[in-house]
Amino acid sequence: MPKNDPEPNELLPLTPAAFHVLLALADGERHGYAIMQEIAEHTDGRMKMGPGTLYGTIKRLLEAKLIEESDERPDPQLDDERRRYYRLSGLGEKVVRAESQRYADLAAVARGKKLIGRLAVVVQA
Amino acid sequence: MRASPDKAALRASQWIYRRCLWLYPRTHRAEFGGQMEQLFRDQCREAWRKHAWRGLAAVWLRALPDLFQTAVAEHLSSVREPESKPGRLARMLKVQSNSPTLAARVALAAFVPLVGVALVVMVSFLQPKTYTSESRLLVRWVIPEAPIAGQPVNDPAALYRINRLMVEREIRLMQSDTVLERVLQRQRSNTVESKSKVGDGGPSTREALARLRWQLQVSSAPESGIIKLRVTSGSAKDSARLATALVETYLAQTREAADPKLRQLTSALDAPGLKLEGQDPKLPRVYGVSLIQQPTLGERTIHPNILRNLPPGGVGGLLIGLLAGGGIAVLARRIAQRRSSQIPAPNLICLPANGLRST
Repeated sequence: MPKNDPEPNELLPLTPAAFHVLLALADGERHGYAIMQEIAEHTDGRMKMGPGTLYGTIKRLLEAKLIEESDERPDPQLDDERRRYYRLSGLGEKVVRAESQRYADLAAVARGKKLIGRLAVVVQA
Repeated sequence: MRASPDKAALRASQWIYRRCLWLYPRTHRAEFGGQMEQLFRDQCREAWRKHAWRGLAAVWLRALPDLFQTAVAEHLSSVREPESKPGRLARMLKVQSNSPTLAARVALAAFVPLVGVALVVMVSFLQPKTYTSESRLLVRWVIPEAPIAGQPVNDPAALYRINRLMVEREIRLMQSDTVLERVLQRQRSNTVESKSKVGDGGPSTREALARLRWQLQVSSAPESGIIKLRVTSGSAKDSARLATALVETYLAQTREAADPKLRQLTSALDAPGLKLEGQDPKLPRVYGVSLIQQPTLGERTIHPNILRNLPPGGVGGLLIGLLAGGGIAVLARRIAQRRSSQIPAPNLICLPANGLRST
């Protein structure tokens, strides 16, 4: 990481929109519509981002160098060439990890106060 | 070949959204406009496939507030001064936990009303001093036995209407060109050697008349025969002098109008084109007008540029400042919340901020 880059903790806490976008990109590069669908999916369809919010957030994440534009296309035959794909940068990955840990710590506190239930461990046969 | 309804609806939606993108700053539009349009089109297609018109309407209902809010945010962002990199990153991404301090709020609450008071005082002192001279006249009339202007004289409502007509006619006469031009002539003849405020050869008669009309204010007291005349001028003496000239000219005019012989004589002496306005031939002059209050010396300033008027002016300014300050504070707080991504406590529970919408 270059010396000028800030420490991940300096950027916390993230806005919900920024955190959701980073989470959506955590397991691979995606274009805007796929990011929106991923967010809708991991919130059980309760949250949908409008184009203005999504690309406003993407713009700020690009400026902050937490994400970067990808030149690669999964399959040019199957996809629109005009789509732009985004992926997490090294700093972005650290920041989303730190933010996730922060949420996990908060969840642990809430669990300790019995505000939410304990995690259930499901063992598949 | 005509397009199917679904294609036409999707195409129209896309066309409208493309036009709406002009709300964003040019740089943002150039960089992300195409992608936003594409994303919106994908949303519309999916919504149409699932719920047809209902789905399309839902997409628009989500897209419009999102569009307007983020367009404003992008414009605000584009006009903001450049900051240092860490500060900018923190502002862009971080939830700001430090709200304005109490001292800052107190300073703002004190500063804005003070500005309001200062503005009111400054505007008051910049106004030129003006004085108003006031005079009162009474329209007196004797109830005749014969009907007047077709109105029976034994009916109180009709009498009230006749009284009102007479007062209105006198007010029109007082403001008529005939009376005002005679006032101008009188002013000119009285102030040949001194510089008069009204028509001393500088402005034309039309301009002088317009100025005189602006200085003159005639009104009637409700349900009475009293006519109030006010004349405003830059000095107390001038206003009283002008009011006296007006009253005397008007009374002379009414005397002439009441006497047919005198009226014939004066109309021959008057300049051609001068007409006695405000005379209604259907309404005979069965009344007289008398002066019940001489024009007063205009000592009363009508602008609060004297020390004794400062306290009420200050209180007014304080109230205006408080209202303006409160409005600005609420607006600034809302903008700051939105820009700093600070999530209000209730939103942490049910709805994340920054455009994430619950469906």
